[in-house]
Amino acid sequence: MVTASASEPAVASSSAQTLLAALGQPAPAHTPFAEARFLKLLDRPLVVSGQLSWLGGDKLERRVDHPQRETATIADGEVTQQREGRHVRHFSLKRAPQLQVLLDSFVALLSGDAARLQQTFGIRQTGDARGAWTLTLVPRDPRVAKAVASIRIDGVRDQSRCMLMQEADGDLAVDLLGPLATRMPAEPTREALQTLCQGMP
Amino acid sequence: MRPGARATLLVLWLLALAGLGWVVSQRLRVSTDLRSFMPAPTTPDQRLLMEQVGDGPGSRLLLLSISGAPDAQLAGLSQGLVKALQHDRRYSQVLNGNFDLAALDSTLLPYRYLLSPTLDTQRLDEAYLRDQLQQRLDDLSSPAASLLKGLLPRDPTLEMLKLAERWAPAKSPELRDGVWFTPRHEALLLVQTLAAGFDPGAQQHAIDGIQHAFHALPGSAAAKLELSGPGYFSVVIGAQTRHQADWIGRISTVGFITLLLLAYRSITSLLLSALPIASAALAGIAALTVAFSEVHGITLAFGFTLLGVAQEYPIRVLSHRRAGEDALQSVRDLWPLLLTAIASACIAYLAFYASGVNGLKQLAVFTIVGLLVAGFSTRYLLPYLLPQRVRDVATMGWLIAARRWVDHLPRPRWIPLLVALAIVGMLAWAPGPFWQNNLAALTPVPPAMLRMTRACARRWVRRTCAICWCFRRPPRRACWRCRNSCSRRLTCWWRSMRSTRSNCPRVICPPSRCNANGNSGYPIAPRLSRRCTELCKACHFAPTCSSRSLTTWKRRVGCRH
Repeated sequence: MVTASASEPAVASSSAQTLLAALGQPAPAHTPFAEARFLKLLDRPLVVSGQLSWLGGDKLERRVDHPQRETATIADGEVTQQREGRHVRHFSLKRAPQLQVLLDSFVALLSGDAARLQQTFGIRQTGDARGAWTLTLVPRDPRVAKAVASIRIDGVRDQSRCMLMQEADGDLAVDLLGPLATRMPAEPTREALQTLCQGMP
Repeated sequence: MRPGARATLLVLWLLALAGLGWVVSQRLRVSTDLRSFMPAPTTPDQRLLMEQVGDGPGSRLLLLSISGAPDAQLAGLSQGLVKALQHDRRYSQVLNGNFDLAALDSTLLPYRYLLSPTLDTQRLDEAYLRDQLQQRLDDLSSPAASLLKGLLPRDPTLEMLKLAERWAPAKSPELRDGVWFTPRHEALLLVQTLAAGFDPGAQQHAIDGIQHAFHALPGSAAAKLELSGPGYFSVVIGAQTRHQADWIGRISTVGFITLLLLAYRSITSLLLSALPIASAALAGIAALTVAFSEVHGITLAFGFTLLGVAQEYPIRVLSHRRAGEDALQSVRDLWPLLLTAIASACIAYLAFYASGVNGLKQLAVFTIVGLLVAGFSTRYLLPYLLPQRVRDVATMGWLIAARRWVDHLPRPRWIPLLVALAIVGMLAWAPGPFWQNNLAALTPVPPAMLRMTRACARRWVRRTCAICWCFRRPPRRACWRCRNSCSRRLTCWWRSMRSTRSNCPRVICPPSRCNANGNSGYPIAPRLSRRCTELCKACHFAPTCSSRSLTTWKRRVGCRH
């Protein structure tokens, strides 16, 4: 299904559309995830794991099970954060452009909506003969691009394996998705995750 | 005087005027700030009032509404306008309801711990700090990370967010598509200008900027932008007054010239009689530019009106001169009378100087210099230029006939009685109250515009700020206690006022340099520093981050180390 070779990137080609259509699932779709965040603020990465769910429409739920239970729901333009033993926190999606980007890319990926993805991002696709592919999404809105430089999604055939959000200030969030979620190293490094994402299952 | 000498004198006079004109054009700086026409404040109350009137947030606020298009388009225009104006140096804040942490005044950041109530009840001890840092770690792994990341290094306990929540009004306009809207489908914006509210020139500049930015937005042609607020009023009043003054000025100039031509029937006399007044005006302005750094626009406008008195001096010379009489002799005879008039007018205008109000002082300097120059040039220069011979208009046939006609008009004795009755009737049946006590009635702002502003302001707040408590320069040591007690007192007072549905009072502490180490929740600096470094390390905050946060803490809290 992936036709372009690694050396010739295609710009939102019909192959990208075919790929996205193949990735689409009916709502609700759930996938386990493990996330490592490399922040300049911290001297080691933050690792959390849990489950990501697309509940249909613009509703996304991010449930964290480790190290502490916390549920964040994005619905109707509002983010609701629930943490054990704390007050529920609400804020508008408008206050966090990164989250809007995350929502757009996730919902579009899970629903297989290539048109929506193309509206928000410039899309570049590369792939190889074994069926591994990489989608690089660059936000079109310059205001969003000031916060999020790019999103990279790695996958094999009809499965996304990794999502990397490169923030403009150098911080990086790596989400291992699906079966890969269980393979998060105890002390991850950028390089180790990179190899993990691009390796074959 | 020989014709050659006359021409030389005229040329020299004109050259002197041109020279003065050049000096004035080089040095004159016109200001439009109306506060220079108010007396200088002497007591703290007066100073506060003057500060608030001119530079207070209320007077620098412009209220904007955009209407006449579908909501989504209006919201887009509102966002576009904010984007266009927010980096413009003419405006200190542009708000449309779209919350942004950057909208919080960054000058408050250094005082976050003084302003926020956290440390009133909470000690900044190890347990609290550890809990806070752990929560921030959780925040960083949550979707809110991107929101808080920028704030964390300087504000690890998120006091700015607490302040934002505390200061958010109890009732704010409805949010649609992320921006403020009225129930009547108008998008609302607040723009705070850097310029003082009563500086019409600078406000005009700011308003032009807003309108220009609005019309440059795509899709703005269909929508309507309306402005309101003190700054806008000062611009409207300025334009209205200027328009009326221009109009009245034109009529009176034409009337005056016609009258002079009719009386003296000599263009030469007319032009020559303009020379003393022109000299007076230029000399007056030149004196102002020497004595003051800025000249107020009103001084010039009003000063020219007062200087109109000086036009009388050449007219007296022209009128008193009999046919066949020498101009110089005529002026010499007239001089004692003229000098008395000049001196008395100067003494009257000197009273302006004693007022102590800067604008009036300028007015006094301008008029007195002007009157003296007009008087002395009428006495010592003008007679040498006047034509040798003049015609006595009294011998003209049609004038004698006109005089006779006026003399023969009937003079009925009942006319004064009728006029008196009419006046009494007007007083008795005049509409409106006989005695007007409302100061607001003095404003030249159109009533419809005032109504709109009141309605507009009501959409933001239920009640306007009525009471302002100000504590001036508390003793350094007592600052912290003062903040606490003032906060407590206000809360008490607010509880007692609750039935009236007033908004909760906001405690806004002045950025005073105070050492809060005393009785506050702050630990002594070195201890805090050591503890914080350990905690940050335990929570895996990078050393660069913790040291940056600490130095700002130390500096801002007023630590001595």
